Amino acid sequence: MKATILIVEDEGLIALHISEILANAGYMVADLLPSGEDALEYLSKTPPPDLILMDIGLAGRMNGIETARRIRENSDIHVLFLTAYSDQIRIREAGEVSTFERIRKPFTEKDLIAAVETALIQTKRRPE
Amino acid sequence: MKKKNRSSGKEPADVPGASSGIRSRAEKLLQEKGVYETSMGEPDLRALVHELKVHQIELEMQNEELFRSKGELEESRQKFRDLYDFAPVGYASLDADGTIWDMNLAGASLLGEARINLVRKRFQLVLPPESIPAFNEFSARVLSSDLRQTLEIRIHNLGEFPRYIQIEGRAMGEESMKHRRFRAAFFDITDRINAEQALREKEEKLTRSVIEKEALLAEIHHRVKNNLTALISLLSLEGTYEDTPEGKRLKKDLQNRARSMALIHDTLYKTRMYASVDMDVYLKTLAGQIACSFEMVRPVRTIVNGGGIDLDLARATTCGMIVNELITNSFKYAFPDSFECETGRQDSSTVGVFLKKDEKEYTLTVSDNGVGLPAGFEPKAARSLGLKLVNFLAKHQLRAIIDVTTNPGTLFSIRFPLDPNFHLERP
Repeated sequence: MKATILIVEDEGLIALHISEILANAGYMVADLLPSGEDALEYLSKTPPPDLILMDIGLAGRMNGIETARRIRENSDIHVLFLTAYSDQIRIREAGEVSTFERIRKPFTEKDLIAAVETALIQTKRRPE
Repeated sequence: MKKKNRSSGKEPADVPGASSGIRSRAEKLLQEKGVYETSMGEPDLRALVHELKVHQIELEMQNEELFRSKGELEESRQKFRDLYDFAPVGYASLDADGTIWDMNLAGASLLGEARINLVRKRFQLVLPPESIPAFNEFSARVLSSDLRQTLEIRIHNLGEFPRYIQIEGRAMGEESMKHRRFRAAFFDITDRINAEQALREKEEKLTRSVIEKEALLAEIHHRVKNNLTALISLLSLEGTYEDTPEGKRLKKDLQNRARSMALIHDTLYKTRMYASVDMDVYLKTLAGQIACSFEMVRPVRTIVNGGGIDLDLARATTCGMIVNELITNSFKYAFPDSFECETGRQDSSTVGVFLKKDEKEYTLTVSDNGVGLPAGFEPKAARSLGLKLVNFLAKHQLRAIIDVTTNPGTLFSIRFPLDPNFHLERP
């Protein structure tokens, strides 16, 4: 069975694009959410996805790193960051929450699928 | 003691406060009055001596009273002198040309000199040359008025640091202008002036920084618009190889989508507002541009009202994309050649775009009076990219609720909360 992926991205067109790419690759897209608050609310009510694709700069009051930190405090769900940031502090912070390779914007379809597949393989191998 | 003095028959000249000068003046006055009587009998002389003794005692008592009052006055004067000298505020009396007639210790300390070096000297000596005209003008102003006058002025540096004082002056007495003096109180305002100057410098720095950032923002929006315009041109160039009707349609859709985004940056650049978008300007230009990109058999009227609303950049962009898709659909499908709007609706073909705001939400309405949606067509389940974008962007970006009504015409009503983080609940 193909993995379920939640997309947390505030830029609607990019979220839609990612969703199309993942759906075409056979993944189940759980939902597309614009903010960290929406993501936490979603996870409190819904079975956890296999992976979360999380933008770092989000709508709402929480950024992607803070959202991922809160998610990881209460669950084993893995987070793969999407980022347009070149800021080293942000990148280091993101590295403290998720050890997966980040997906840098703008990305190609091939880059996105490769990063998602690698993250899912690592998730299965990694004992929690 | 007093009694002893009174009965000892002391000469009046020995009484404290009296003097031989006063005695001789009194003798003289008595002779002038001519009341010196030599032919008095013994009883009269006794009575006179008695009267004189009583009078002498009265005078002595008056003299003692005067002495006591003088002592009290001296004590009081000394008390006020101490208060004057040791007051924390500087005080001085000055005349018209600035001569210092007296000054307390705080005043001398404030001016950085010993008091002895200041009294009977001109106040202008403690001023740098550039402060002297202002002080002279202040002196004249104080002396020609009965009201308190104020001056803030720089005095000589203390070391390398400039110092500032505030002087409050008020004229004394009724003497002629030439001899008139004024009392002055001095306050050290160096800390306040320095703080004000630091604040002014910070404000200037911030203003410069804001101007630079605005210039940078203007440049960024200008460049983004230019890049999107270049993309629109690239699509046109690419279109020369793709002349099929589908290719042309795709090209136009893509160009209009890119144009709706470019126009946001153009509006920000032109209105010089970078935090929010003037929706009247933006929506009117957007609707006009889309209308111009279609060649219609019959003219279509476009009515736009942005409600005087300024919307944040993110939501203005989304509204623009939604309006672009919905107006494009109206121009494409609402007025087919076979549809005579004036016959069917008693009105010319019209497309309307309205943005309104009430106390809890915005409402974006895009409507036309065309043929309406086909029977059984469910806009929220549409698979076309245009309506898919409308549904998705409204929900994802605006947290909006969409209502669609059709026949006659088509009307999309998109309601979204004033606060971008707030969800609207469908009633």
